Amino acid sequence: MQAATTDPGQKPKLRIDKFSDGGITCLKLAGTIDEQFEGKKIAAGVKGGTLLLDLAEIDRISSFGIREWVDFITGISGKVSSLWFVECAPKVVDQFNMVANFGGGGNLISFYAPYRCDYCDDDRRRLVQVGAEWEQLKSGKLPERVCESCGNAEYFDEDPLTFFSFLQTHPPAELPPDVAAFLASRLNYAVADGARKLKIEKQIDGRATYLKLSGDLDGAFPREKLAEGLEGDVIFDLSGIGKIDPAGAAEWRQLMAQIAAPVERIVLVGCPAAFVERLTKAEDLATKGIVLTFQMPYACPTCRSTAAREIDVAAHYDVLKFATAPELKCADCGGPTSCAASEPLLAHLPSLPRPDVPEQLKKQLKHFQEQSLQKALAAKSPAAVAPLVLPAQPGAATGRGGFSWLTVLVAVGIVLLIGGAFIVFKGLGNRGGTDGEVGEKIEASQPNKPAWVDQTFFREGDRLLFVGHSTLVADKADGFAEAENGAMEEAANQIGLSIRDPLWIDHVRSQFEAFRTKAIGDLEKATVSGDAAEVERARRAARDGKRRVAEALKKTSGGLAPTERSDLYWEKLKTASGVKYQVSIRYAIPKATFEKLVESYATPETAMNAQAVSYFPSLGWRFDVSEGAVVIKVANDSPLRFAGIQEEDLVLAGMDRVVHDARSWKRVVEEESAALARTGGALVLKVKRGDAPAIDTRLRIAVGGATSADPNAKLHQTHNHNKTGTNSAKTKNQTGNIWDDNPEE
Amino acid sequence: MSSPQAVVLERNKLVNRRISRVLGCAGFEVRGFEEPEKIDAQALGEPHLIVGDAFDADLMMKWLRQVSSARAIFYTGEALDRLLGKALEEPRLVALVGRASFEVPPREDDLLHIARRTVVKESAPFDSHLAWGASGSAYSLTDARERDAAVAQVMAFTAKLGAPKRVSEMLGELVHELVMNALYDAPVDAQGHARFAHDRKAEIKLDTADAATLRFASDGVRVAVEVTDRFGRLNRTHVFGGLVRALKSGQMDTGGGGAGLGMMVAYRSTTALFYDVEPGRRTRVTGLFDLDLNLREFRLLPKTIHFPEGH
Repeated sequence: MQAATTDPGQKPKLRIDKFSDGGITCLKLAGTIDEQFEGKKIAAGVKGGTLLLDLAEIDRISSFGIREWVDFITGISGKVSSLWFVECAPKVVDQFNMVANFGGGGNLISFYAPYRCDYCDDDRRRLVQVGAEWEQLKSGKLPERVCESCGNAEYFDEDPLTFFSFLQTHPPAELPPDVAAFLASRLNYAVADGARKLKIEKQIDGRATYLKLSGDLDGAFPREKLAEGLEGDVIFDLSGIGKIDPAGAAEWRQLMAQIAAPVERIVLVGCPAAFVERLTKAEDLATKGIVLTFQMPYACPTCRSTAAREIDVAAHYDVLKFATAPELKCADCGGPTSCAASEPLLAHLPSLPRPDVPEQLKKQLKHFQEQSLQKALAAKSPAAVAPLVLPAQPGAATGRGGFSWLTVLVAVGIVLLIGGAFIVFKGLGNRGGTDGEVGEKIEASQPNKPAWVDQTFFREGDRLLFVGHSTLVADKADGFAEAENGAMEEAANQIGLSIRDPLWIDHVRSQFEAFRTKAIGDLEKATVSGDAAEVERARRAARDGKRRVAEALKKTSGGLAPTERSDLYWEKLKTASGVKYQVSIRYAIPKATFEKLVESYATPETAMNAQAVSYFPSLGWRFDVSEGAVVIKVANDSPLRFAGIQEEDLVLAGMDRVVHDARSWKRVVEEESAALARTGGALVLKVKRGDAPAIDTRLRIAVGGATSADPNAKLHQTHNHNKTGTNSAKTKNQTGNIWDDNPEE
Repeated sequence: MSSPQAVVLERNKLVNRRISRVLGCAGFEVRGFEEPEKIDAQALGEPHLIVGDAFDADLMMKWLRQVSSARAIFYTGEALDRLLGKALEEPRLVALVGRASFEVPPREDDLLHIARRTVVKESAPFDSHLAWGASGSAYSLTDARERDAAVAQVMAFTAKLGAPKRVSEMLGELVHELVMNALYDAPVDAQGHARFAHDRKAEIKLDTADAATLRFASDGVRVAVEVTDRFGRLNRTHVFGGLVRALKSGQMDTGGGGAGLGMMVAYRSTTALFYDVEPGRRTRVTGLFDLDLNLREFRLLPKTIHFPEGH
């Protein structure tokens, strides 16, 4: 055995390149992900919008690298509106299969399947598009291929059952056309054909027509349809154009020629670099074509990023006419950038005509683009607030009151969906506030908005952090209160999501979940609709719900709820209706404390063969109550059945003693029933069921302890309670015993 | 002095005979049974070693509880997943041995090593995992830079053997994990407190005396990788607990910090793992990979894990 020494010389283990274009960013990672991968740090540098992760060249991932990766995914998940994985190496697919939450809420678009030819003793990779080959993937079969070298068959060199296990629970999602176009054109990725089909959005305002094209410019270009009826000023927004093939270029030229006569002006905006290079020559623009803006790639050596930047031809005409790119600062770090445009593009720039566009048309263009953006956001919004259906966690612990970080990560998954909606909400807020107001920042608590402000829940070391946000408020103090309640509510929500006991889920969570989802969903919908009255109504409902939950958490947590915020950020904004404030507040709870909270709310106490858990703060979404005990199981032989007690009943008091929580429920019931067993009498419990008012119910206890139904008992077994989040007419009109119409009576 | 007794439970007569022969060569006096359910306590006696297919796992676990001096080896043609919990629970279950199918006996090396280990209390030398004449290298590693260089050496070594790139990468990962454990998790101070386990990002430099040793070699058919530290802190719970946790739900939950991920990487990168721990003195982990297998076959092959009891 030969002894040797190691060579300490090292190359960088991981290279990260960034490409961006508007709201879409692609990070390409190549090399090894190990303990040196700074997951949180890299996540902090990621902005919102759509994030694509290209993992084709990842060759190794260590166990600690996986932990860092999950931190990265958790960190970005609250920020980005959508996350897509492209061209993942087999090594990465292994991690998707092996590690829960490796991909967060992202979608796997394509991956490399390993193939092997035994004759050539060679291994190859074949790119698989999940969407296009879903049927085969679902059945766990990939076809054999012919070896390019020897012509013999080469086979899929993995166990399909294992290799496709992640995909069995993660069916393909449709790639939005703008993302597909970005991948196909800017980065030359292969994307499924359907995703590149050209889409056209049309708006008309007076004599101006705005046409936004998204997708590939190919032989299927609907020239005739587009040209039909065009007149006046025509604006083509080409920022979504993907690949351009010769047939598509020919169709475009014909379109320009066809509409040159009937229209007054043809204005081209957002032209991709390839479009400028190929289709904006003098003969292409004919007599009426004008390039108003176009995109050029700029590279930042500091950020290692390449971003498409929009160039205003009029503003930079004096530079462009010398075949020179304008000098631009990096949008991220503010440092110098260098133009990465091709020589032919730069050489072509001097031939672009100086744009001469009336101010009115520019205003119309701005309006068209804003409308287009709002439409896109509105289209995304319903998906963001879609019903929260979580994939089952096979084999996940379901023990009573069990806490696990898996549970928290599942919870993160839910928050991400809600977070997605929140991002849309904020996006609108930044442009027009929650009720359509334009907000311009005039002051802030600190110069730069901290990254945590864009999240609602995340983990940092051994702490969990919960962020609450206010709506736009005139009084800063109101904003503080709203944000504090929001953070507390989020903490309660996460505690609830971490309780896995099926009885608790069935009888506690089920009582408030729909109410919470509805209140938050209503606010999102109202925000998108822009109806000020509707927004105000929804905002009040959400604010009141959060306040009640926060108060209940403080009251029932046994001092474990955080009392001091860990950070805050506010902005003072100038809006159309005056100066307003938007506040974000962050609370931290140590992991150990969080676990205790989960346990305290999940652990039932038993009295008279019935189990009850402590009142859970999120019930505040439904009830204006802040303490008590919720019955989750009544045994068949429980004497409390004589009093009509059943699962989901909320016990507020016993013999005029307040029931604060599960423990006091046990104490009150046991002590009072023991006393009555000596003297005889009726055990009186104050109980609230569903949305009806609380009432007293009775259990007769004879000397010696024998129990029987009391003729004055008011509660009876029922199944009529309302869990839908809306008050039915029946329950609304009840003022007394809501079960009087029960057939048992 | 009489030979230690071993019993073999195997319904297939030929397989039974072969296993008995191998155990005999490890110094045992072997009795083979083809109908395990018909054995009573008297017939069983007080064997030192019980060897059988995991099909009879419950029966053998019962016997282990009855015969306090016995050790057990379970072999199986299925994935080890459901046996890991038993290994965690019962320290006298000293090995889980995979076999290619129910028609073939477990590999003689896998059986012989652990059978011998139960009587002689000495671990098998590294060279014994390969045919004589094998080539390889050894490194003494004290920090992360040396680890990375060693990983690169292992990958280059396997690539030179003609192994597919993915196999090289996989073995690189294996070495990375094992060395990380030896450099960061194993070292303790004089009071027995972990020195670096809390921060794997820390730049550390071990004294030469505390250095981890990496050996890797191949005989052209198998690659063997071995990492040794002088602390002897690894225990059954680390190994089997981590694997149970990882394999229980099909996916590893990193929420609790990801303990067990390293074990999972090691498990998925080898055909056999030999753990040998002398508490407070030495931890030695040896992993084997069979170069004749393509990765599809490798994934489906039941693995072998040795963890001699007492630690």
